[in-house]
Amino acid sequence: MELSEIVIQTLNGISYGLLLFLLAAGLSLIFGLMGIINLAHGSYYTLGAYVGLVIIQKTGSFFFGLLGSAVILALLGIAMERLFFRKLYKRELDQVLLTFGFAYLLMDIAKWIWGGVPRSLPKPPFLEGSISILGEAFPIYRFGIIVIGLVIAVLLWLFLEKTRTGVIIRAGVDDKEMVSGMGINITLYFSGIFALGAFLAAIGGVIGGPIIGAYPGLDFEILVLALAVVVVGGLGTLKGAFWGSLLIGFAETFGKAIFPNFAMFTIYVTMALVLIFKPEGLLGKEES
Amino acid sequence: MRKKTYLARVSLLLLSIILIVSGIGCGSQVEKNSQEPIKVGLLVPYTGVFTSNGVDITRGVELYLNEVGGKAAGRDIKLVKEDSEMNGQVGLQKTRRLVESEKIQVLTGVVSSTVAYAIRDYVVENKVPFIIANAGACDLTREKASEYIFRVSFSNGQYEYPMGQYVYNKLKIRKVVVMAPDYAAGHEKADGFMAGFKAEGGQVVQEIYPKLGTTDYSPYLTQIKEADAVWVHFSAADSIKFVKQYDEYGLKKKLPLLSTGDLVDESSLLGQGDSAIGIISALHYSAALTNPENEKFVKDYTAKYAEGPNMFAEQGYVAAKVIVKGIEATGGKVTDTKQLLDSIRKVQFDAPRGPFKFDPKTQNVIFNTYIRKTEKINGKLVNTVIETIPDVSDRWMAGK
Repeated sequence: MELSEIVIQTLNGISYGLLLFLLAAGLSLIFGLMGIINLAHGSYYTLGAYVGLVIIQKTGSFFFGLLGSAVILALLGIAMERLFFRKLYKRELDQVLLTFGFAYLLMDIAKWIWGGVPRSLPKPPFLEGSISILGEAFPIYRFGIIVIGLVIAVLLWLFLEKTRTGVIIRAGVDDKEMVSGMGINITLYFSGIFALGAFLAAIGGVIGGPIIGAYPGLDFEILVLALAVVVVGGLGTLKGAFWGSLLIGFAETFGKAIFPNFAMFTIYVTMALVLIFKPEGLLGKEES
Repeated sequence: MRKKTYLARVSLLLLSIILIVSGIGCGSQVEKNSQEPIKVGLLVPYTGVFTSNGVDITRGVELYLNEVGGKAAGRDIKLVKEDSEMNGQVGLQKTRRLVESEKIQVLTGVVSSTVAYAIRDYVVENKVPFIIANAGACDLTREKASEYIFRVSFSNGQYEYPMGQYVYNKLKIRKVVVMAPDYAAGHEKADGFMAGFKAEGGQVVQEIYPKLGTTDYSPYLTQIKEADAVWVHFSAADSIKFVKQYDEYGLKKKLPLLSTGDLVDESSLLGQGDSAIGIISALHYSAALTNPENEKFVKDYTAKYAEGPNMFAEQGYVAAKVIVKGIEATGGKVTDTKQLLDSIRKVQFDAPRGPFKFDPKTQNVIFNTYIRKTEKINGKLVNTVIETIPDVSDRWMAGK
């Protein structure tokens, strides 16, 4: 590989990895705090992209699409948590069935509203075009993804590390009983974290929209990627989701570049290798 | 003279009586059947990634059936729809249901070749005429051909092969990079193009087969080597992602993009936007064709479904027309399968795509291949036909 290609592929890997981070962070946090593997998470992403598209078309603003879609999906997340998931804590099999059912239901609703034709989101005009790096073209929009991904990662980190809410959430991940024993209304935080997960997924959907689009079936493609990230990174940690995303992003990018015809393989090889040496994932907590 | 006509009339009357009596004699079955509707099974995906193709085919079928008042040879046609879920086992199960419980007389549809292969033996064993409306796997009308199997859509490579020749001879392109999804159809289509291109003296400098449903093509795009052009096959959601990313990485300006018609299918153009402008593709159909059949088809389709048709809709429409014309040629006697197969084999008409007929040997369609260029006309993206290659059969590619 030439230097220019290595540089471009590295940028490809980072931008793809950070997009995956937006997806996986929510999934990982929800699992970490509540023990729920939300199989409807890919649907949040896809619905986020569709809703974002509608808002962008109505308002002509990518920013409003991003924000509006994230807020609407956060509300949907709260509603689902309050009405359904709350009753199913600690009943893993029921959760899996219910969230899987929701994945189908949400996608059928999306299909009913938006049809089966793949949609694509417009880019914000100031991120159109590409720039030349060592003689190779690299799209400006992907720089945008890198910047937004990093900003959100930092904000999330600050939120979880530096605020009281964050402390409670982290404590809740470690020991739910103790936190509720201290008289803290942990169920309120549960709703909040569900909202945050859906919020992040929707942001991923809108940001990924201009290059990946929105179409029936995307939900499960995304779910598989997000699960791979969470398994590699370790369940329930933000840092794990972050490094896991970058690792999967790099594995897939360089896998495609070096073994163009075996790309699917590289993700699973990465997963297998990580699990052999660290069964709990890169930054997962060991079972005590 | 008078006696002669009198005699003729009497014998005609006698003959008619004999026919009617023997008809009743054969059992009230025949008469009862003619009251009952003819059942046509339609097996397409209504769930999963290829849902839109299933829906488009269904719309095409229904549009044609509407056009003929839901009747063939005076008998009502009842369409029984099933969801193949793009899964061979599910497809086989649904086909069993259609044949055994619904007692269909003809089967059509099938988007995926996997499903087509899965139901092939069952259909042949049960002697059900099967009109394939999409699935393109070559062997369905070669090694696995059967008198019960017809194909109105295409054999993979059928329009890619002449495209390869066109690219070398007319576009004067000598070196290409080939990209297609890593599954049977992707390889067969790429093989068809490369066979045509190499036969003329062209050189393929790189072949890349990403996984079907790849979300991010950027690593591949970054890798593309020096060449005169890039030829690709991607369809449905993949086609949008690919075309947008190809443009995003500045390749559109450097290397002309050549493709199968699937890439710039009318349903994908909306999502691709201006990134699709300039792509040269080959297909057996374009919504921009100006023959009277197509103009009527586009007008009626748009009026009914509020969006324009694409190749899948046209294939559904043609499949329905083949079935109706075939039944009409038998005079409505669909229970005589031999005769029905014979009639279908001979069906010929002007379709929206142009002249339609089967290759009697393979029962695969012979069609015109259109070389199209994606252009923006009056603010709308269309695939303008820039060259017509007439009468392309699958045997052209298979070496005749």
